[in-house]
Amino acid sequence: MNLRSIATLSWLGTQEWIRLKFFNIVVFMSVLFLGFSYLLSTLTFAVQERLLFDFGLAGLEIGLLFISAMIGSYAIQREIDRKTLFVLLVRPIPRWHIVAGAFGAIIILSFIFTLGFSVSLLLASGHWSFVNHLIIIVLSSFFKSLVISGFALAMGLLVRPILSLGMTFCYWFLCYSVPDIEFFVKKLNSENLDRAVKILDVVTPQFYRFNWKAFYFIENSPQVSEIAWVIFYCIGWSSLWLFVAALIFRRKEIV
Amino acid sequence: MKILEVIHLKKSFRSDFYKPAQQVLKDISFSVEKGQFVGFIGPNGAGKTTTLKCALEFIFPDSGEVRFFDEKFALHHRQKIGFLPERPFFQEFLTGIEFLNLHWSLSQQPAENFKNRSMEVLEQVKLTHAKDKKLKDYSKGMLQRIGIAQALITEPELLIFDEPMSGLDPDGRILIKQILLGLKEQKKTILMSSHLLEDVEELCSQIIIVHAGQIVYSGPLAEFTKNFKTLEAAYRQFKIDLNMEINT
Repeated sequence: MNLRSIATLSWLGTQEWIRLKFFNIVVFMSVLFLGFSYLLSTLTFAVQERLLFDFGLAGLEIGLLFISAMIGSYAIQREIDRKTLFVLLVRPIPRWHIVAGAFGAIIILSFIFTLGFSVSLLLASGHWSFVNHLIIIVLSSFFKSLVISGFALAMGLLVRPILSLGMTFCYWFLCYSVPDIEFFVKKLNSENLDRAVKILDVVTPQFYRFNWKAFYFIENSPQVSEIAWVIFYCIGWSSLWLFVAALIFRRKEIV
Repeated sequence: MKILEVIHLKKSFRSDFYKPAQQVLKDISFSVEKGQFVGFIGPNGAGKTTTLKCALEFIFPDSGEVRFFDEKFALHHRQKIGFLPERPFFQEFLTGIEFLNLHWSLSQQPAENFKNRSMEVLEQVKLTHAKDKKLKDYSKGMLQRIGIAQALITEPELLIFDEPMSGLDPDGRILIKQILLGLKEQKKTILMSSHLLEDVEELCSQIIIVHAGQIVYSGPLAEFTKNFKTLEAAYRQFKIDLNMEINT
């Protein structure tokens, strides 16, 4: 199987989104966020790094969420609306290569963003000794964003992009919120709702289990086994969503 | 040898899920033989573009079959097909040469042959001077020509052009017509949808007329126009006859 077309399409998508300046806007907002975190940290009496990393890592995850949700929801539908997809579809490539190409573009842009943001965070903190732990933490955010990208791609093929965007943000919240929902449901004493939450917990990625975007985890790195689990868990979920997206796109009519 | 064969194609569309489906293609059957230049003509909304989209699997027919090179349509057949959509939109941030390279690469062609082949097609469509210009700076006629170049770049056996001359100024039309005449001389197999009858008359050897989702004529152009001076006159009379036939 020749996968060169996926690389070609990924690069094409990357160029397109950089040209559209969406990526630049996310980077600019993140720089502002980082600057704000730095300013807050210099004003505090408490541990300065704590504020910088707590805010900075949250900013990284939000930036990645925006990249994943926006590009995932719009990537293919935009090509359909602008009719640029016709000349690509007539080439001897299976349709799933186009989905994989869009996903590849998100990976490239997310990776550039993660790398740039992490280096900036380290520069702002001045603590290069944190680098190993920081890599682990930003990797967990990066892998989470891959799951969100897969979901956004699948939804972007199923419904209009703006709706997919909304659904993706809700999905991201849900991935963190199942324990909170469980807490409230327990108070209602309803067996059915309790069962429904248990099912929800199984069918949504459990991001709350590796919510490491805090200074605590910079000081106390997670175990290697936990890191490996996160990587496989996120790859599993993103593969599942990519498979769903490819299935939807396989029979999607490009009118 | 039949390069393209469309057999009893039917296709319905539903504008909303609660509305009844409208049948756009009622029963479309035709074939294109090797070396033919076929004009696919009919009024707007007759089903020309829908037929081409079904043939290329952009949309999927309710029933019927499309065969390429005497086989059921498969992915590898796309290696032998070049397509120019109606009013093409391309990735405008690419230059002409980058755009051709994209299609060369997606067609899994050897990279070392690209330079020579791209120069050949750029020469053919008279765009050598604009190869390093971004597509956003191309005129409509130039976009149409680079579209033809991407269709030609892999030396396909079948070329499908959907309204290649629609919306062009006279100069643009003349240039495109020259390119198409050149392809005709090279005995390329071409299926061209158009509603510009004078262009079809000048270029095509065979015509297929589609009306309200059905093929109403398929055969040599010469036979269709034998009692008339022009294709337009023949077409007008044919439509009158068709209406009479429907009314009686």
